[in-house]
Amino acid sequence: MCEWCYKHGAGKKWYLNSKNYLEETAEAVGAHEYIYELWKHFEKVYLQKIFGISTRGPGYKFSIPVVGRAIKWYISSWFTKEKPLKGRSPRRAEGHPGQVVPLGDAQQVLELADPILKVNCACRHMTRGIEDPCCLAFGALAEMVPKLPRYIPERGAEQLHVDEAKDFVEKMNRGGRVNTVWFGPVPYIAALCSCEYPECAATRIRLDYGLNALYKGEYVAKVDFSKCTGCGTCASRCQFGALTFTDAMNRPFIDAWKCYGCGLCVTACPEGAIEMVDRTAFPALKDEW
Amino acid sequence: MKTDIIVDYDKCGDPRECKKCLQICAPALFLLYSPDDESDDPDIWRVDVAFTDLCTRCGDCVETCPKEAITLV
Repeated sequence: MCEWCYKHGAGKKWYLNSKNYLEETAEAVGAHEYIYELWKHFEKVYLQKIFGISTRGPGYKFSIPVVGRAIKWYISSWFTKEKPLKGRSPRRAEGHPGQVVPLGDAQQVLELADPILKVNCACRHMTRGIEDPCCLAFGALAEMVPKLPRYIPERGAEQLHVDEAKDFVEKMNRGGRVNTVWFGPVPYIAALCSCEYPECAATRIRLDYGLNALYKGEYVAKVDFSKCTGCGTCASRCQFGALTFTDAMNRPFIDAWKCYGCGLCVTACPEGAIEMVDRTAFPALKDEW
Repeated sequence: MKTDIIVDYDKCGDPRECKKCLQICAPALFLLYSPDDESDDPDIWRVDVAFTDLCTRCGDCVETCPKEAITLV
């Protein structure tokens, strides 16, 4: 379990604690104002505030000796800030990370959330200029959507029933999208997204620049070699570069250090040879989030 | 090699009508960006280039731009 599970999980995985979806929690952490400011200026937050002055070539900035490392450490510390709950700056993306969840957990999250609204993906709007309704917004975020017209799909803000939403995330998962829960500010949970590299803002920041905008999931994928036939279906599914298909053995190899526990390889495997194991089952990965 | 992707905004105009550079760039380096700070549904959008350090200089954006607004430096 990650640090948040101990603090906000009530003995469970922290995103499965129903308290984190309540209106009272939203008000206690000032989620309404925070979310409105964050989503109103989503492009601004992404482009300017996360990397300090500007995102133009952050890789070059981070490679400056000593100074670059200090900037990187400072920005990274924003994502794990929890206090003060009120008065955080939404324009600096403080405390707005997400966490990868496998399909089963994503569906359990939907059972706790109410209402569920299907909205346009902010990241895809920003990076590709398209309107793709693939994000599910809950509670405070769902209330904010009518005030933010560019996130309303063409067919109008569509409220989904739990079962429809479950089918929807499954469809997204089969299509190769990573299910992620988003919270802002911690521990209030506001959305379940279907992310994809490189369009997803947080995945890009995490994978290319190593900043903790997206947390790894609570699981790690493991291959059962007695069931694996070496068909290679899983090979193209991993977006995190954790799964490689070794030709000599005709078997997939999963690098547990790189695995985000999204479970895309699990849902792809026709033999059911890959399973999700708790991250804590690997002592070396205990603090790797 | 350090790359800079320069967009001529006088030639580019409103990127929402064209979006060719946004959609052809495989590593998604181009972003729709609102220079207006206050508006929540702004009519002024422009293409900005972030993450120039990830550019592979494939030149697809330069070739695809119908208004020849993009240059690689």
